[in-house]
Amino acid sequence: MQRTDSQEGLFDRLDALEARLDTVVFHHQALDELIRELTPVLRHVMATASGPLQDWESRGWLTQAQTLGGALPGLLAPDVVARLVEALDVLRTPHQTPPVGPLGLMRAASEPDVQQGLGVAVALLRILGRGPDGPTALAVRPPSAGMPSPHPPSPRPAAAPVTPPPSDPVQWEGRTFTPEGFLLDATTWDEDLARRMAQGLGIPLSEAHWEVVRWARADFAATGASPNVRRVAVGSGVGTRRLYELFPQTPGKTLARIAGLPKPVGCV
Amino acid sequence: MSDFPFNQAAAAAPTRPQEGRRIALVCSKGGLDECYPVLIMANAARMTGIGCSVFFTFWGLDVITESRCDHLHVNFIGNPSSPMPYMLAGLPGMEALGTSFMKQRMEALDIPSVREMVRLLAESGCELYGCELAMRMFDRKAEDLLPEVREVITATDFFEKTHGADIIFV
Repeated sequence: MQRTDSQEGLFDRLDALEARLDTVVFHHQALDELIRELTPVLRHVMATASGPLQDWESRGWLTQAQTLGGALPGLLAPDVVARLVEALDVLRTPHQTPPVGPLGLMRAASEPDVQQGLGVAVALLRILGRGPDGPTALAVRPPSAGMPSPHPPSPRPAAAPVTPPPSDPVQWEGRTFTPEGFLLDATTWDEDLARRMAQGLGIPLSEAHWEVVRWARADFAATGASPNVRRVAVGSGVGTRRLYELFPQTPGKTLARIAGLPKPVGCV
Repeated sequence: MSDFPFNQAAAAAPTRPQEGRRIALVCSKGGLDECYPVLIMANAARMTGIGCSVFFTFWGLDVITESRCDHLHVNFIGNPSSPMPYMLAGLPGMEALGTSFMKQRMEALDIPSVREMVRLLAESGCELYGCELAMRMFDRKAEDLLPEVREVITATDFFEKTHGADIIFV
């Protein structure tokens, strides 16, 4: 008796399963039909669209749209939008803002917000007025009026000195030096000489030292003048403090001796 | 290395880095033309391997004060070397004009600003001190000074710190 009941239950469950399977098959067929109907439509759309899309791509419009799309979210930031809406409000009813005469202009120009806005306007004008070749060179150099610049300027190379050859050159390692130890002909330098010079001066050379030496030689090749302490510190990025640690006591001269460059000039 | 020729040669030259040689500079004036000799000589001393300490006192305190160091003026009045006649130099705005010309000239020669020079000195190992009496006189606190200043000390402390050094008063 029990077995028959459980068999019945089993058949019931099989029937239910079959019914559900039928529904799945029905939906699958319906989907198939839908795809079959849509395929020619999609094909037609792709064929028609691919022509203009290729044309836009060749003109660069798609990349430009991508750049614009990338820049737009920044423009839609809430504070920017609020500012724009405020500006539009003012523009909507221009006659409701109080007029400003020449004296009022002077007063307004002393307000920090107005000055900031003028700065923004000048920056925009600079961008709009820029020629096709980039920013135009200034005819007159503007005074910096003592304001500290945001970034330390890379010091310009000192003028290449016109020193006469020394009266008592020293011969060492097959090359000629000044009595103070500066190589007369920078082209006769090689790394082995640098190692010997550093050993004689008591400087243990590490990779950090070599980086600075290589930078100094590249700078000498580019400018023709041996870089002084400040130029090396700022130009090579190693910083003044680290430079004094790497080449103690007289960093400019020690570096020049090791790198086979002339004695650097300048006191700053 | 027995055949390294330059130790002896460098020892004979006057610029041989000497462990013991030290100088102490006292900067008591706050004009742009009056503080630069101190800053440049201190830097040159460090580049030559000479230990250096600088004491900023009286108006020299302006050189190391955060709010003043970018606004130092050139002194045209009472300066016999001044290119500007006294009558003209006394007019309002002329000092500022002359200072801006001097600053343009310094920029053209790639001379760093006062702030940059102080930073350079501190990084090269120069010790910078403020005068305690001048701080009280001008009612300034340690926070008002540039971060590169080592500490605020009295003149007596400065003499103790620079024992054996050559003192140069500017």
